[in-house]
Amino acid sequence: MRAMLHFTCVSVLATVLSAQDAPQRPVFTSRGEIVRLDVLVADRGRPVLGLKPTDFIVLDNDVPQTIEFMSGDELPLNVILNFDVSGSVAGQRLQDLRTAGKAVLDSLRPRDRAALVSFTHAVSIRSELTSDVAQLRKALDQSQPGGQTSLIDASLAGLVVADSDAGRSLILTFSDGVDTTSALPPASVIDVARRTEVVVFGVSAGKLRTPFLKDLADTTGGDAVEIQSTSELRDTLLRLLNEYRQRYLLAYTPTGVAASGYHTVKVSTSRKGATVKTRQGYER
Amino acid sequence: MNVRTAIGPVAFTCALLVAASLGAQSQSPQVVAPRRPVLVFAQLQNWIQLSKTHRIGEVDDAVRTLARWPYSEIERIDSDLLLLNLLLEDPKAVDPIVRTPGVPARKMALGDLPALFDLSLELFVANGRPMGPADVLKPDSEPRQAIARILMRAAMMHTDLLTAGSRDELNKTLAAAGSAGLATIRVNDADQRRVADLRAYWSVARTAMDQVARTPVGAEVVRDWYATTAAWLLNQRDYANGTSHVEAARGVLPGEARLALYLGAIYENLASPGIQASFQNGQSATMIGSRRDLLRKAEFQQRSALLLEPDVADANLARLRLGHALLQMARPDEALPFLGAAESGIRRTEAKYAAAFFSGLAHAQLGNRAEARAAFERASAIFPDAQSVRLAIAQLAMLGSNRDEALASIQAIKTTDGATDPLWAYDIDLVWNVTGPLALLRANINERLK
Repeated sequence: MRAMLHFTCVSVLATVLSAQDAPQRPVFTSRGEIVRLDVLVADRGRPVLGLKPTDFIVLDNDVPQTIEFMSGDELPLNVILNFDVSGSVAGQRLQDLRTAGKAVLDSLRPRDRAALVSFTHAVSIRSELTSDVAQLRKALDQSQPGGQTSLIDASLAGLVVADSDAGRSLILTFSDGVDTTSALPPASVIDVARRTEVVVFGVSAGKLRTPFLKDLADTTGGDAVEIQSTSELRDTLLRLLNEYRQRYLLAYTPTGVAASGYHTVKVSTSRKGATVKTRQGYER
Repeated sequence: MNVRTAIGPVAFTCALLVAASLGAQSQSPQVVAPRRPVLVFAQLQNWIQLSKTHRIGEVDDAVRTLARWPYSEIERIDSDLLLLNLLLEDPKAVDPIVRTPGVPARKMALGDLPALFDLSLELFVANGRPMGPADVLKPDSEPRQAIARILMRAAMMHTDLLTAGSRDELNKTLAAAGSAGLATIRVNDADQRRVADLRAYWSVARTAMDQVARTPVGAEVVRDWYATTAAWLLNQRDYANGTSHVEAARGVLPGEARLALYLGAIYENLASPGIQASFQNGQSATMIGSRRDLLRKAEFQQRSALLLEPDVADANLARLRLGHALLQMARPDEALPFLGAAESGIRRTEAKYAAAFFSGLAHAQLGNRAEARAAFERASAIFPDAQSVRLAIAQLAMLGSNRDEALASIQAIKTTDGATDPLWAYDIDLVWNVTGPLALLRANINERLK
């Protein structure tokens, strides 16, 4: 367990869930004016742990901000699996995809939740956010390959599912091709992503042939990864999930900046040689 | 119509004798006395004979035989037919020569026609005298009309080869015969699919129909043939063979609005992200053109269609397509009037849905969320379960921070797994019914050939 919770604005940010859900599951109950940033600090590719709020500088539209809340990996996650099961993902690829998905589910912690969105040309919400891993495994097995690819539409669906809970959410997207049938323009989905605090990771089997997935990942502070074979998918997803867990969650109330419009965000650290990755900004 | 005496290929020598006899009685230049055997056009003759046995609308022996011929022979037939068209079109070009790489230069003369088409020599007689070249070349001359009928049937033999049977079987037959190359423009789920290159078969049919069009026999039929086959190729998403076919059709019939509509639709489809992404690497990208260029070409074709026939039903499809092309070129303000007119005028629900949906996207692009919402609601009223409109409403809800509405909208998608969204077939919706028009075309041509 790394950095401790730094509750400087506890009343606004975190509380404990009501009794009918998992009793120990802290959630964010209000989005309000608070801005949350998932921040990865790395040194030569390795996450840097143990930093304190004072080790960070956060600029909102180039105006320095005060970090009011910081957390390490203590907060539970919402993990949305957004999987391409179009016609080209038949046979071994589908097996690899299911194996990878189940490995992610197996790695969830008791307070984590997950959801499954699968897509061909049709987007299917196979399972909304739940802690019922058995249900999710079953949903994974029920996804059948076929049809074309609506990656952009599915990304919107994933963002909506992820953002339906105020908790800390990430989307693990897998696709082996390019979008062929989406109805929504890519810019409209990126626009939505800027208004959420969801982090998107994209994994492409083969070269990323269109910029959408990378743009979405960059916008949200995630990452887009190319793999040669779906046999690498399991390890890749687990690595990305693990990397996410090692991120810092910083939160601040924007001060001295416009209330609406697009805000650029820059985060740096006093730790020498370290690089910082977070989302590029947010829209209000 | 004169009584015709059929002369089979084996009676070719007799034909020569008759021709010589007729020629001796004439004082004008005679055209029916071949000055050389037409053996150099043996494949063309075989093709003509084969076509005479074809029953229109069937995959019969003639069609199966044609499918087994080497592709190079089909290309050569096309060259020879072009030679024939030149011969019949321009009196000054009598005795044109065709040069095909690897094949000796070939000359064709009017005197070759009886043997080539196995025509009765009586057809070449008018008022008891053998026709001169000028008489033969008249569009309504008996020989030209007879040739046009033969070529119409031949063009339909090709059409039936390409449209009547199973595409998979055709590809197998052609592959087994080594008779066709491969093309790569047909795309499925962003992966290029190699399909048989059938352009020479289409080209032969066009060349044959071009001759038909120049006679009173079938100018109208030829217009229908082009429109029907263009629609069929678009319906099949066969851009490898379809693009060149419809481009050629536009050249032949520049005043035909339907062809402009179809060609514009092909360009618009080729500009779609899925197809473009498949051709980003290698030479193929330049082969189909950039997204921007294709959308501009689509815009030009749809504007042409509207200029040609602004008041027909298809014009609303052109408005829909034009609006969508403009939308994709980030010109939503220009797109909206066309999309609005299309939505009002179109009866087919799928196309009306598309017009309303694209209007919503155009308004959203302009930042008019209320108008966008209203347009999406109109689309939703047509197809409430369609995935695209559920997502679009969810997207707008997210922009308005209404997460509950966004979630509710996409939750509706869960229940529509397996349902149809009109936009999934938008690319070919304007040619959703091609079997009916094909059957009608065949019936019309059969009627004319009786």
